[in-house]
Amino acid sequence: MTMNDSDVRGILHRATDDLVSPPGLLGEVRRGGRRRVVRRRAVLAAVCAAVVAVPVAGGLQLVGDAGGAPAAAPLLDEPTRGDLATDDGYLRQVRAAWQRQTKQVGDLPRGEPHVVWAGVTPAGPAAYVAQRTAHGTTVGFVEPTADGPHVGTRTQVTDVRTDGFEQAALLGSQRDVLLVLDFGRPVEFSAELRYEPDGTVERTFTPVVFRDGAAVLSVPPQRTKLTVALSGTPVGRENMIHIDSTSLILFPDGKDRPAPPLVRHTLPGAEQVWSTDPAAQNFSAPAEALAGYVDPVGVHTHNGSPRLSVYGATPDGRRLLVETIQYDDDPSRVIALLARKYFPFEAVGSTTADWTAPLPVRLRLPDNQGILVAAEGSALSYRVGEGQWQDAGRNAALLPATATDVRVTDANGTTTSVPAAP
Amino acid sequence: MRDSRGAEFDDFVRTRSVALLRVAFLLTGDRHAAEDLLQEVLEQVYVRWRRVQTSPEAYARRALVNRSINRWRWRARRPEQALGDHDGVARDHADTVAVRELVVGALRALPARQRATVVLRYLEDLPVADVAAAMGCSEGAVKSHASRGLARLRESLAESSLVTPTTETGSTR
Repeated sequence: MTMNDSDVRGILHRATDDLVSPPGLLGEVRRGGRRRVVRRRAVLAAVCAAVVAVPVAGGLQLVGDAGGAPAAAPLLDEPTRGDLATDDGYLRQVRAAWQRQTKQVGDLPRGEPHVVWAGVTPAGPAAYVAQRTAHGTTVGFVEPTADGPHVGTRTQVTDVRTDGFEQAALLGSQRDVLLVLDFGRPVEFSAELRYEPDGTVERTFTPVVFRDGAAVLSVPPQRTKLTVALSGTPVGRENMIHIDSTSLILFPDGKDRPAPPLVRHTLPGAEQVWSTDPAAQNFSAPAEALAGYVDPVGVHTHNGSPRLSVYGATPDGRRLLVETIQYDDDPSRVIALLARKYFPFEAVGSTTADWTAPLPVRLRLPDNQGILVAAEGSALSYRVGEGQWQDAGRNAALLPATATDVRVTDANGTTTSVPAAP
Repeated sequence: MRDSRGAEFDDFVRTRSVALLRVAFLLTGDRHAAEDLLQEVLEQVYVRWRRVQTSPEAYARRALVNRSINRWRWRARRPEQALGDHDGVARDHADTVAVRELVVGALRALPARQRATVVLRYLEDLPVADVAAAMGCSEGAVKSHASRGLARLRESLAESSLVTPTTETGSTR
């Protein structure tokens, strides 16, 4: 069969005709467009820390500039809030630090910087500043350091609302003080991410109570990973609140982490239920199917563990997909998903991988559909009871549900026998 | 307070986002990645609206092509969406899903610039000059990419019984 240009056009349209814009796209685009981070914050030096919780609260109408057009800007015009609002000495230091930074980054200021909020925190005095510039308005936190006030990330904003801004900042040498500004909307706080025995994630949220323009929360130290999370309501990725001063946690030494190795294997028989080669297409599980396993609002790094994807077919004819999710220094969770043809994938089970073990992945599937095992670079075989060892290929295999033992021969020829299921 | 972009930007997003999403989808082969890419590009358009408002779609197309090549950056934002499972695919959409998987698989086998050329030329029906502008290359390069890409695409698609030539059936849409 040959295809002419019209045929090609036709099939490209067939493949895309039912796509529709995601709901809320315009709002998301406007929100995203309003904020543009112009400079990553510099290193935060050691800070003093008087460990006293200072709850503050209140309401603050913050509104920014409009795309460079001269207009009234309550963000710049409202009186300074916070318990250091009348501390002229501190406000002078804050403005001086801000102006030094403005000069360094070559911003084009218009008028004086305005301290929106200034207050005492357990990490020392902190502030939030807004400055009209030639391009709109620049905002940012000013953090306490041993050398005095230090300007964090400066965000150049081009529109009138505050959603999408860094609304909070981690302060202190231990990163154990969370300053949250009151932008006039409810904010929910979560201290940590926990894992349920079935591998799903759990976060508990409590409302943030503001007083006089901000709230200061004592949080577990956030030095090597970010466990805390903030969200508007309803809690969810679309309402996630960005936290400033996390670069050192997420990008130690200012460097991005190398991507984890991607390991993909297609098991024998997969071609009977997958219409195309999923490994060649880098097929990944639908976000909806993994929703319970994904942190709804947190930000995480990884420890370099492999990102495993295994594609196969179950004895009863379903598509099998096994994937790993790994956050920070937490264990790799291995999640099995099954789908009948043309039906969505559903997560059906999970376990954790031990990448130091001879057989890192052992996961029993429901409905007696077998045991998924994986050991990169190793030859695999199995047996049932005291029966004969059966070859199961290399790297990954779906063993019969009755398998009792697995023999793993690694690249060095070392052979280890382990129980088929933990 | 007013927004200098006004209703024109909103109209542009409302009227053109579906077409741009289709381009993004075929460039990336992944629904969520396409949505992320489109949003990122539209945010870029938003910020540069004053400069690009005379031809925002051409600017957006060029940004889509450029950014689709640098995939890792936005791929990490959320897990990829399966090709056949988005929108809660029902059984009566099975054929559409299969076609989509087939097309995306075939496009993925093409080098990035050939893929972009084929998508802009045959999905968007752009003239060669406009494709060249979007790709930032010469018209000769576009013709070359299109010719090679199309040949490979035909080869991949022709093997499938899901593809019925329009010349035989009148229409496949």
